[in-house]
Amino acid sequence: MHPENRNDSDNRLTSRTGILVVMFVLFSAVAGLAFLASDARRDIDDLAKANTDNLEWSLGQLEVESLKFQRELIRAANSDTPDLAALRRTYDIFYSRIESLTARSFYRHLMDEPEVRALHDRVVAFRTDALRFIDARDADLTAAIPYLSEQVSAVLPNIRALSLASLATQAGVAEQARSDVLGALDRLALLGAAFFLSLVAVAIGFSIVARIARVETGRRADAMQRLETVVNTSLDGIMVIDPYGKVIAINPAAEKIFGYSEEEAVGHKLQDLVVPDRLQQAFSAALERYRAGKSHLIIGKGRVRFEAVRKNGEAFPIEFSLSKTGESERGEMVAYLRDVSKEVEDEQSLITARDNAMQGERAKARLLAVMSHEIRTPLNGLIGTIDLLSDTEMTPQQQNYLRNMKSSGNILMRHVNDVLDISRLDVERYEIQSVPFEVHEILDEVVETQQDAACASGNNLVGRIVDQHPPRLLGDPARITQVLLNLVGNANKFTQDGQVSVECEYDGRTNQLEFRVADTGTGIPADVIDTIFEDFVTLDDSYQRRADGTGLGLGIARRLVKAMGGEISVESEPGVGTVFSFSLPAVPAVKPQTDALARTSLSDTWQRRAILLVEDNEINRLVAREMLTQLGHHVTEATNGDDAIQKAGQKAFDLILMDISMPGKDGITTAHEIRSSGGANHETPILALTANVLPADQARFAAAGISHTILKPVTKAILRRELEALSGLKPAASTSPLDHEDKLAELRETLGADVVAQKIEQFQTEVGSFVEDLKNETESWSDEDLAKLLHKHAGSAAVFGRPQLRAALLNWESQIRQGQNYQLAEIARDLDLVLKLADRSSHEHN
Amino acid sequence: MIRALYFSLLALLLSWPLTARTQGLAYPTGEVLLSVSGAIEQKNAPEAALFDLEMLQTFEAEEISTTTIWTEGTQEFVGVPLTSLLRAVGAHGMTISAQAINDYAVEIKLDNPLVDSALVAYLRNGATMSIREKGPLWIVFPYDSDPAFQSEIIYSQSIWQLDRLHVEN
Repeated sequence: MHPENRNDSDNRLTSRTGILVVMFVLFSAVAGLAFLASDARRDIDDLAKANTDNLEWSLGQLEVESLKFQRELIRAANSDTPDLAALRRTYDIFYSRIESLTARSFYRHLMDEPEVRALHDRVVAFRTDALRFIDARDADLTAAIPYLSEQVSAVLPNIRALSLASLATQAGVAEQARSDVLGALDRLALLGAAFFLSLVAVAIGFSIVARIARVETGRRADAMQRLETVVNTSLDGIMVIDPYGKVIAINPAAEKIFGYSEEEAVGHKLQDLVVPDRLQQAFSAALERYRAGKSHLIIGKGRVRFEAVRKNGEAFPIEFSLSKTGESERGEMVAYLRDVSKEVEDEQSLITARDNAMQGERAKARLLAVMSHEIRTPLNGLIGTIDLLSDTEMTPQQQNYLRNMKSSGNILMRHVNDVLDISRLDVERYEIQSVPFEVHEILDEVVETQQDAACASGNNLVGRIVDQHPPRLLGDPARITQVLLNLVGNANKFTQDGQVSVECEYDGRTNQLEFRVADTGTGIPADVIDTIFEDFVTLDDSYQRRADGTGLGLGIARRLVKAMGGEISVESEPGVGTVFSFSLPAVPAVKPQTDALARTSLSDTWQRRAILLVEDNEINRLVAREMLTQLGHHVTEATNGDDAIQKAGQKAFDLILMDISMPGKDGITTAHEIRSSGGANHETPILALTANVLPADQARFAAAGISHTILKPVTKAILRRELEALSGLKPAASTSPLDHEDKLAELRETLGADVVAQKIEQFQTEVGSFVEDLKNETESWSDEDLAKLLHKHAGSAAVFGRPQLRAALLNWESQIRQGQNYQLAEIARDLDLVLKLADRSSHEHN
Repeated sequence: MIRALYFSLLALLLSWPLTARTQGLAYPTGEVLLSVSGAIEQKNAPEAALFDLEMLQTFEAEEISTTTIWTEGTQEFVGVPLTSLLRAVGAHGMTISAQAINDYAVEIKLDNPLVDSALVAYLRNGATMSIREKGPLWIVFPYDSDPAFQSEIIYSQSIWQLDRLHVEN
C-alpha cells in the first residue's frame, strides 16, 4: 500500500510540475506576445495614420497656384480693366498654399536642409513682397502688376526647385517608410512565429497535462473502482459518518446488517437508526467529545463490541472499529461493522459446553472416588477373606477353587488399580521411591508370578541377566516390577506356544539399567506401533478379545518409566515378535544390605502394639483385625467416628488405623477431633485406611493430622511393613541403647569403622549447625521446608543409631505437619537436650 | 448587423422629406459661400440651394476641437454638420462631390460612418476664415478623437476653401 502511495504522490508531483512548466511556457508566450503585439500594434497604427498629406501634391499645387497667379498677372497686364478681384483671389489661394506647407512637420524637417530653406525663404519673401500691393488700393495694385509679373517669374524656378528637392527627399522617405513597413511585417512575422511556437508549446503542454491527467484519472478511476468493489463486496459492513453521526455512505453489507437501504440510511443520523435507547446518551456524548477534539474514544482502538438495533427493532451485538478518514478536517469517520450475533451465540454455547465438560470432569473425578471406594472396599473384603480362608484347613480341591478366586480377585483389583494409577500418574503426584533392591529378585518375582500365565499360553518364559550381575541399586523395585509384569503379561497374551524372555542389563559406567521383554508373538503392525503407548489403545478386535484389558497397561508403563526418569520403546515385526525395552538411571546403593540384615533389624525392633482399628465395614474390620492379631498386636475395634473418639479418650494407643470413608463422622473429622482433644491419644500416630486415593486428599489427610496412608486392600505384609516403619515414631520402652549399638556395629562392619566414624562426625556437624540455625532463627523456613529438614535428619539419625534424636525430630515434624504452633527456639532447645544426652551416653559407652 | 441597421437608419433619415424645415428655404442676403446642387429637393435658386454665412449660422452649430496636419496647435472649429446641411436640402444620394474655390474636387461617400462627424466649419478659433486662411468654409473632422480620422481618405475629404457641393444620385 505504501509504495503505491508514494508512487501516486510522485505522479502527482510530476503532473504538478508538468502543469507548472506548461503554465510557465504559456505565461512567457503570452507576455512575449503582448510585448510584440503592442510593438506591432504601434507600427501598424503608425502605418494606419497618414501623418503626412501628399506633400508632392501640395508643392505641385503651390506651383500651380503661383502659375495661376502669374497668368492672372499677365491677363491683368494685357487688360485695360484688369480683374483685380480675380487677381487678389489667386494670390490668396497661393498664399494659403504656403501656410498649409509650413504647418507640415515633414516639410519643416525638409527645411532643415539649407538649400531647401533658402528656396522656401525666397518663396515666402515673394509672398510678403507681393502682399504690399495686393492689399493696397486698386490703383497701386494696377501699377504694380508689371513688377509683380517680373517677381513671380523670378520666384517660379525656386518653387520648381523646392518641388524637386522635396521629391528627392520624399523618395528616401518612401524608402524608409517601405523598410519601416517591412520591419513591422518582419516583427509581425516574428510575432506570428513566436505565437505559433507558443501555441505549439501550449498544445504540447496541454497534451502532456492531458495525458498525465488521463493516466491519473485512469488510475484514480481504477483505484475508485477497486475501492468500490472492496467496499461493496466487503463482508463487513462499512459506514462513513460525519462528526454528528450523520451517515454519509453505507455499503451493501451494512445495509444487510441493519436492514436499512442506502436511501433510508444516508443523510440520517446513526442515533436515529441503529443506536439502542439505553446507549443514546453515551453515544451522543462520545460524538460531542470527538467533535471537541478531546477524545477519540474508540477511534483507532481496534474492534469494540457494542449493541445495535436493526430496522425491525431487533437488538443484536456488533463488533466495530472506527477510524478517522485521513487527516480530514471535516472529521469524517469510517466504521467497520460486523454482526457478531452468531459469534456471541457460539461463544455462549462454547462456554456452556466447557462448563458441561468441566461438570463432566468433576463428575468423573467423583465417580472415580466413589468407584474406588465402592469397588475396592468389597474387593478388599473378598481378597482379605480369601487370605484368611487359605489359612484354614481345606481339601485340595477347595484350595484350588480358592486360588482361582484369589487370582480373579487380583485381576479385578489390578484393573481398578490401573484406572486409579492413571488418574494418579497424570497429576504427577506419584511418589517414586529410591530404595536398595536386587535386580535378580525382581526378575525372579516376575518370572515366578507370570509362569502360570506363560504355561497357559504354552510359552516358555525365561528371565536372565546379561553379563554380570549388577550390584544392589537404588530405585523403586515395586514400580519396576509393575512395569515388567505389565510387559510380560502383554507378551504372554500375544504369544502362543512361543518364547517370552525378560532380559536385564546394567551399564556400570552410565548407571543405566535396561530391561528387555521379548516375545515371538504376533507382533504389532507398523501403522499402530507409534500409538500403543497411548491410553485405551487396543490393537484390534482380536487384540481386544484376547487382551481383555483396559488398554491402559502400556500407558501406565510409559508413565511409570517416565516418572522414574527412564524411557520405554518398542520394536516389532508382525508375525515374528516384539521387543519392549526400557532403561532407567539407577545408581548402586551405598549401603549393601542383605535381606537377612533387614529382617534382623526389623525383628529387633518389633514389639506388641496397642492398636485402635476404626472401620465401619464389618468384613474389612474383621480382615484387618485378624491380620493385626496374627501379627501379634492387640486390637481395639471402633465401628464409627464417635465410637473411635470415645475409645481414644479411654486409653492410650500406640497406633490408630482409621478408615476414611465412614457414614457419619468420616475418618478425617475423627482424626482431627482426636488430635485436637488433648486426650491420651492426641499425639498417637494415625494411619489412614482408604480406597480414596485422589491426590487432593493427601493434603486434607495431612491437615487432619494423619501421618500416613495405607491403600486398601490391606494385606498382612503391608500392615507389617507399615507398623515396622512406624516403630520409630514412639520409642518403645524396651528399646535399649544396645540395639542401636548393634546397628552401628553392623554399619561399621559393612562400611568400615573409619567411614562410619567420619559419617557420624559429618552427621553430628550437620545436625549441630541445624540446631544452631534454629536457635538463631537465621532461616525463615516454611512449615513444609522445616518439616522436610526434620524428616531428613530423622532418616540420618535412624541410620546412625540415634533413636532418641530420630524420635524427637519426627515428633516435631509431625507436630509441624499437623499444623500445631511451634517456636524455632523451642525445637532447638529440645534437640539440643537430646543431642547432649546422646553425647553423654555415647561417651559412657566409649 | 449594427452597420446594416445604421445604414438603413441613415437612408431613412436621408430620404425623409424635410418639408417642414425646408419648405421655406431662405434666400441668401450676403455673399454666397456655398452652393448645393444635384439630387436635392430644396432649392432657392434654379439649380441649387445657396447659402450665405447667416443662413449657415441658423443651423444648430457644432464644435470640433482638434489638431490638424495643416495647422499648428489645437484649432477650434465651429460649423454645420455636413449631414444636417444635406438633410436641410433634402438630399437623396450616397455620394457628394465637394469642390473648392480653386476647383479642387473630392468625392465624399456618405455610407462612410466617419462622414457623420464631418463639419462644414465657418469659424476657426472664433473667427471667420479668409481665403488665405483656407476659408471661408472648411470641411473638418475630429482628427484627434480617433486614429480612424487620420487616414488619407479623410485628409483628402478635408477640403478647404469649399464653395460647392453636388449631391450625386
